[in-house]
Amino acid sequence: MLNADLESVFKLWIVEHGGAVLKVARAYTVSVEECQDLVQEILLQVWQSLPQFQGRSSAQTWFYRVALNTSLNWQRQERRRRVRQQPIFEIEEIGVAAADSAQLVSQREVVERLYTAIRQLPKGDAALVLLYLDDLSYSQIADVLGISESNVGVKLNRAKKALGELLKEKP
Amino acid sequence: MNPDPLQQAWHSQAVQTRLTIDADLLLKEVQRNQQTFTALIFWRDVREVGVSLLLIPVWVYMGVRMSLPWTWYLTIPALVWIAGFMLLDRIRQKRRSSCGISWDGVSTTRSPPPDSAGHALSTRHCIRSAAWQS
Repeated sequence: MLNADLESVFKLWIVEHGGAVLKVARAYTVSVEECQDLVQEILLQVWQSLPQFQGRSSAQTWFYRVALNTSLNWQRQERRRRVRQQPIFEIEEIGVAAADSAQLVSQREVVERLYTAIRQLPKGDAALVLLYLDDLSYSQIADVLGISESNVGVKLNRAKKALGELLKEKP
Repeated sequence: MNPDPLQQAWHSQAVQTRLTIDADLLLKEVQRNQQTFTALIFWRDVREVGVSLLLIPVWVYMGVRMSLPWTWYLTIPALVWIAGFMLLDRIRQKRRSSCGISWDGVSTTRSPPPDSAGHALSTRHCIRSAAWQS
Protein backbone atom coordinates (compact mmCIF):
# COMPACT_ATOMS: atom_id res chain seq x y z
CA MET A 1 0.00 0.00 0.00
CA LEU A 2 1.18 3.52 -0.68
CA ASN A 3 1.59 6.00 2.12
CA ALA A 4 -1.42 7.98 0.91
CA ASP A 5 -3.56 4.82 0.85
CA LEU A 6 -2.35 3.90 4.31
CA GLU A 7 -3.29 7.33 5.56
CA SER A 8 -6.80 7.20 4.16
CA VAL A 9 -7.36 3.64 5.45
CA PHE A 10 -6.01 4.67 8.81
CA LYS A 11 -8.28 7.71 9.04
CA LEU A 12 -11.32 5.68 8.01
CA TRP A 13 -10.61 2.91 10.51
CA ILE A 14 -10.01 5.39 13.28
CA VAL A 15 -13.49 6.76 12.71
CA GLU A 16 -14.98 3.25 12.66
CA HIS A 17 -13.03 1.62 15.46
CA GLY A 18 -11.72 4.52 17.57
CA GLY A 19 -14.39 3.80 20.16
CA ALA A 20 -13.00 0.31 20.72
CA VAL A 21 -9.56 1.78 21.39
CA LEU A 22 -11.00 4.07 24.02
CA LYS A 23 -12.89 1.23 25.73
CA VAL A 24 -9.81 -0.99 25.85
CA ALA A 25 -7.66 1.86 27.20
CA ARG A 26 -10.20 2.73 29.88
CA ALA A 27 -10.36 -0.89 30.98
CA TYR A 28 -6.60 -1.14 31.48
CA THR A 29 -5.94 2.18 33.16
CA VAL A 30 -7.15 3.92 36.28
CA SER A 31 -6.64 7.63 35.74
CA VAL A 32 -7.70 9.83 32.82
CA GLU A 33 -4.06 10.75 32.14
CA GLU A 34 -3.01 7.12 31.91
CA CYS A 35 -5.96 6.40 29.67
CA GLN A 36 -4.92 9.19 27.32
CA ASP A 37 -1.36 7.91 27.25
CA LEU A 38 -2.51 4.41 26.46
CA VAL A 39 -4.88 5.57 23.71
CA GLN A 40 -2.00 7.45 22.11
CA GLU A 41 0.24 4.42 22.39
CA ILE A 42 -2.42 2.19 20.82
CA LEU A 43 -2.98 4.62 17.96
CA LEU A 44 0.76 4.78 17.32
CA GLN A 45 0.93 1.00 17.29
CA VAL A 46 -2.05 0.79 14.95
CA TRP A 47 -0.35 3.12 12.50
CA GLN A 48 2.96 1.29 12.76
CA SER A 49 1.32 -2.12 12.29
CA LEU A 50 -0.93 -1.05 9.44
CA PRO A 51 1.56 -1.93 6.64
CA GLN A 52 1.66 -5.48 8.01
CA PHE A 53 -2.12 -5.92 7.89
CA GLN A 54 -2.76 -8.68 5.37
CA GLY A 55 -6.54 -8.72 5.42
CA ARG A 56 -6.73 -12.25 6.85
CA SER A 57 -8.99 -11.01 9.63
CA SER A 58 -11.54 -8.22 9.71
CA ALA A 59 -10.45 -4.69 10.52
CA GLN A 60 -12.42 -4.86 13.75
CA THR A 61 -10.66 -7.96 15.08
CA TRP A 62 -7.29 -6.67 13.93
CA PHE A 63 -7.91 -3.36 15.72
CA TYR A 64 -8.82 -5.19 18.91
CA ARG A 65 -5.75 -7.40 18.66
CA VAL A 66 -3.43 -4.42 18.36
CA ALA A 67 -5.23 -2.52 21.13
CA LEU A 68 -5.22 -5.46 23.53
CA ASN A 69 -1.62 -6.46 22.82
CA THR A 70 -0.50 -2.89 23.38
CA SER A 71 -2.50 -2.60 26.58
CA LEU A 72 -1.21 -5.89 27.96
CA ASN A 73 2.40 -4.85 27.32
CA TRP A 74 1.97 -1.22 28.25
CA GLN A 75 3.67 -0.11 31.39
CA ARG A 76 2.86 2.96 33.31
CA GLN A 77 6.49 4.11 33.26
CA GLU A 78 6.19 4.49 29.48
CA ARG A 79 4.24 7.65 29.95
CA ARG A 80 7.48 9.46 30.77
CA ARG A 81 8.31 9.12 27.10
CA ARG A 82 5.17 10.97 26.16
CA VAL A 83 5.54 14.03 28.34
CA ARG A 84 6.43 16.28 25.41
CA GLN A 85 3.78 14.82 23.17
CA GLN A 86 0.76 16.89 22.20
CA PRO A 87 -2.66 15.29 22.76
CA ILE A 88 -3.75 13.71 19.50
CA PHE A 89 -7.35 13.04 20.39
CA GLU A 90 -10.28 14.57 22.18
CA ILE A 91 -13.17 12.96 24.00
CA GLU A 92 -16.45 14.81 23.77
CA GLU A 93 -19.45 14.18 25.96
CA ILE A 94 -22.54 14.39 23.79
CA GLY A 95 -25.67 15.99 25.22
CA VAL A 96 -28.78 13.79 25.20
CA ALA A 97 -32.50 14.55 25.20
CA ALA A 98 -34.08 14.84 28.66
CA ALA A 99 -36.37 11.86 28.06
CA ASP A 100 -33.41 9.61 27.35
CA SER A 101 -31.12 11.11 29.93
CA ALA A 102 -32.48 9.22 32.95
CA GLN A 103 -31.89 5.91 31.23
CA LEU A 104 -28.51 7.02 29.97
CA VAL A 105 -27.46 8.17 33.43
CA SER A 106 -28.29 4.77 34.88
CA GLN A 107 -26.47 3.09 31.99
CA ARG A 108 -23.48 5.31 32.61
CA GLU A 109 -23.42 4.16 36.21
CA VAL A 110 -23.54 0.55 35.08
CA VAL A 111 -20.67 1.23 32.66
CA GLU A 112 -18.58 2.86 35.41
CA ARG A 113 -19.18 -0.14 37.66
CA LEU A 114 -18.25 -2.42 34.80
CA TYR A 115 -14.97 -0.63 34.23
CA THR A 116 -14.17 -0.78 37.94
CA ALA A 117 -14.88 -4.51 37.97
CA ILE A 118 -12.98 -5.21 34.74
CA ARG A 119 -9.88 -3.48 36.13
CA GLN A 120 -9.90 -5.94 39.00
CA LEU A 121 -9.98 -8.98 36.74
CA PRO A 122 -6.79 -10.68 35.56
CA LYS A 123 -5.63 -9.02 32.33
CA GLY A 124 -6.55 -11.99 30.13
CA ASP A 125 -10.05 -12.24 31.59
CA ALA A 126 -10.48 -8.49 31.20
CA ALA A 127 -9.73 -8.84 27.47
CA LEU A 128 -12.33 -11.60 27.14
CA VAL A 129 -14.98 -9.61 28.96
CA LEU A 130 -14.28 -6.52 26.87
CA LEU A 131 -14.73 -8.45 23.65
CA TYR A 132 -17.87 -10.11 24.96
CA LEU A 133 -19.38 -6.80 26.01
CA ASP A 134 -18.66 -5.40 22.58
CA ASP A 135 -20.74 -8.22 21.15
CA LEU A 136 -18.01 -10.09 19.31
CA SER A 137 -18.83 -13.68 18.39
CA TYR A 138 -16.88 -16.61 19.84
CA SER A 139 -15.01 -17.04 16.57
CA GLN A 140 -14.08 -13.35 16.51
CA ILE A 141 -12.91 -13.49 20.13
CA ALA A 142 -10.89 -16.59 19.31
CA ASP A 143 -9.37 -14.75 16.36
CA VAL A 144 -8.43 -11.72 18.45
CA LEU A 145 -6.95 -13.67 21.35
CA GLY A 146 -5.44 -16.51 19.33
CA ILE A 147 -7.21 -19.28 21.24
CA SER A 148 -9.74 -21.91 20.18
CA GLU A 149 -13.49 -21.22 20.23
CA SER A 150 -14.11 -23.91 22.85
CA ASN A 151 -11.43 -22.34 25.00
CA VAL A 152 -13.17 -18.98 24.60
CA GLY A 153 -16.41 -20.55 25.89
CA VAL A 154 -14.77 -22.02 28.96
CA LYS A 155 -12.69 -18.98 29.81
CA LEU A 156 -15.50 -16.54 29.13
CA ASN A 157 -17.87 -18.36 31.46
CA ARG A 158 -15.28 -18.20 34.18
CA ALA A 159 -14.57 -14.53 33.52
CA LYS A 160 -18.27 -13.65 33.48
CA LYS A 161 -18.73 -15.40 36.79
CA ALA A 162 -15.83 -13.45 38.30
CA LEU A 163 -17.22 -10.23 36.84
CA GLY A 164 -20.66 -10.97 38.32
CA GLU A 165 -19.10 -11.49 41.73
CA LEU A 166 -17.22 -8.20 41.49
CA LEU A 167 -20.36 -6.35 40.41
CA LYS A 168 -22.26 -7.79 43.35
CA GLU A 169 -19.56 -6.67 45.74
CA LYS A 170 -19.78 -3.03 44.64
CA PRO A 171 -23.37 -1.94 44.14
CA MET B 1 -31.75 -14.38 22.25
CA ASN B 2 -32.22 -11.45 24.66
CA PRO B 3 -29.26 -9.10 24.70
CA ASP B 4 -27.38 -9.01 27.97
CA PRO B 5 -28.30 -5.81 29.94
CA LEU B 6 -24.60 -5.29 30.60
CA GLN B 7 -23.95 -5.35 26.87
CA GLN B 8 -26.76 -2.86 26.32
CA ALA B 9 -25.29 -0.49 28.88
CA TRP B 10 -21.86 -1.00 27.36
CA HIS B 11 -23.08 0.01 23.92
CA SER B 12 -24.65 3.18 25.31
CA GLN B 13 -21.11 4.59 25.65
CA ALA B 14 -21.02 5.16 21.92
CA VAL B 15 -24.11 7.35 22.17
CA GLN B 16 -22.70 9.43 25.02
CA THR B 17 -19.15 10.06 23.90
CA ARG B 18 -17.41 11.01 20.70
CA LEU B 19 -13.74 10.42 20.09
CA THR B 20 -12.06 12.88 17.74
CA ILE B 21 -8.57 11.98 16.61
CA ASP B 22 -6.18 14.36 14.92
CA ALA B 23 -4.76 11.91 12.40
CA ASP B 24 -2.28 14.41 10.97
CA LEU B 25 -0.81 15.12 14.37
CA LEU B 26 -0.68 11.40 15.05
CA LEU B 27 1.32 10.83 11.88
CA LYS B 28 3.73 13.57 12.92
CA GLU B 29 4.14 11.93 16.32
CA VAL B 30 4.92 8.61 14.66
CA GLN B 31 7.60 10.30 12.58
CA ARG B 32 9.07 11.94 15.66
CA ASN B 33 9.04 8.66 17.57
CA GLN B 34 10.81 6.83 14.79
CA GLN B 35 13.41 9.54 14.36
CA THR B 36 14.11 9.36 18.09
CA PHE B 37 14.37 5.58 17.86
CA THR B 38 16.74 5.76 14.87
CA ALA B 39 18.95 8.30 16.68
CA LEU B 40 18.94 6.13 19.80
CA ILE B 41 20.12 3.06 17.87
CA PHE B 42 22.71 5.09 15.95
CA TRP B 43 24.36 6.55 19.07
CA ARG B 44 24.27 3.20 20.82
CA ASP B 45 26.14 1.68 17.87
CA VAL B 46 28.64 4.55 17.84
CA ARG B 47 29.38 3.96 21.53
CA GLU B 48 29.74 0.22 21.15
CA VAL B 49 31.89 0.29 18.02
CA GLY B 50 34.00 3.12 19.49
CA VAL B 51 34.65 1.31 22.74
CA SER B 52 35.49 -1.94 20.90
CA LEU B 53 38.01 -0.22 18.65
CA LEU B 54 39.47 1.67 21.57
CA LEU B 55 39.97 -1.51 23.56
CA ILE B 56 42.01 -3.29 20.85
CA PRO B 57 45.23 -1.27 21.35
CA VAL B 58 44.69 -1.34 25.11
CA TRP B 59 44.52 -5.13 24.98
CA VAL B 60 47.69 -5.35 22.85
CA TYR B 61 49.53 -2.87 25.06
CA MET B 62 48.62 -4.65 28.28
CA GLY B 63 49.46 -8.06 26.77
CA VAL B 64 52.93 -6.91 25.77
CA ARG B 65 53.69 -4.90 28.90
CA MET B 66 52.51 -7.47 31.40
CA SER B 67 53.58 -10.56 29.45
CA LEU B 68 50.09 -11.98 29.61
CA PRO B 69 49.30 -15.44 28.18
CA TRP B 70 48.37 -15.89 24.50
CA THR B 71 44.70 -16.46 25.45
CA TRP B 72 44.60 -12.78 26.41
CA TYR B 73 44.75 -11.95 22.69
CA LEU B 74 41.58 -13.96 21.94
CA THR B 75 39.66 -10.91 23.02
CA ILE B 76 41.04 -8.94 20.09
CA PRO B 77 39.21 -10.94 17.39
CA ALA B 78 36.10 -10.70 19.57
CA LEU B 79 36.37 -6.92 19.68
CA VAL B 80 37.05 -6.78 15.95
CA TRP B 81 34.01 -8.97 15.42
CA ILE B 82 31.76 -6.64 17.45
CA ALA B 83 32.88 -3.52 15.60
CA GLY B 84 32.95 -5.25 12.21
CA PHE B 85 29.58 -6.89 12.61
CA MET B 86 27.88 -3.70 13.65
CA LEU B 87 29.42 -1.66 10.84
CA LEU B 88 28.68 -4.29 8.19
CA ASP B 89 25.16 -4.75 9.47
CA ARG B 90 24.57 -1.01 9.24
CA ILE B 91 25.81 -0.97 5.65
CA ARG B 92 23.56 -3.96 4.84
CA GLN B 93 20.55 -2.24 6.44
CA LYS B 94 21.23 0.95 4.51
CA ARG B 95 21.43 -0.93 1.20
CA ARG B 96 18.24 -2.82 1.94
CA SER B 97 16.34 0.30 2.94
CA SER B 98 17.49 2.14 -0.20
CA CYS B 99 16.05 -0.74 -2.28
CA GLY B 100 12.77 -0.96 -0.43
CA ILE B 101 11.14 0.96 2.36
CA SER B 102 13.26 3.68 3.81
CA TRP B 103 12.89 4.17 7.51
CA ASP B 104 14.30 7.61 7.69
CA GLY B 105 13.34 10.75 5.88
CA VAL B 106 10.12 10.58 3.90
CA SER B 107 8.99 7.11 4.82
CA THR B 108 9.43 7.38 8.54
CA THR B 109 5.70 6.99 8.91
CA ARG B 110 6.22 3.29 8.34
CA SER B 111 7.39 0.95 11.04
CA PRO B 112 11.11 0.31 11.41
CA PRO B 113 12.28 -2.72 9.44
CA PRO B 114 11.75 -5.97 11.32
CA ASP B 115 15.51 -6.47 11.18
CA SER B 116 16.12 -3.59 13.57
CA ALA B 117 14.98 -5.70 16.51
CA GLY B 118 17.09 -8.60 15.30
CA HIS B 119 20.00 -6.24 14.86
CA ALA B 120 19.70 -5.08 18.45
CA LEU B 121 19.44 -8.66 19.69
CA SER B 122 22.39 -9.93 17.70
CA THR B 123 24.44 -6.97 18.87
CA ARG B 124 23.58 -7.75 22.46
CA HIS B 125 24.51 -11.38 21.85
CA CYS B 126 27.91 -10.33 20.46
CA ILE B 127 28.65 -8.17 23.46
CA ARG B 128 27.70 -10.96 25.80
CA SER B 129 29.91 -13.47 24.02
CA ALA B 130 32.79 -11.00 23.99
CA ALA B 131 32.42 -10.43 27.71
CA TRP B 132 32.34 -14.17 28.24
CA GLN B 133 35.46 -14.69 26.12
CA SER B 134 37.41 -11.97 27.88
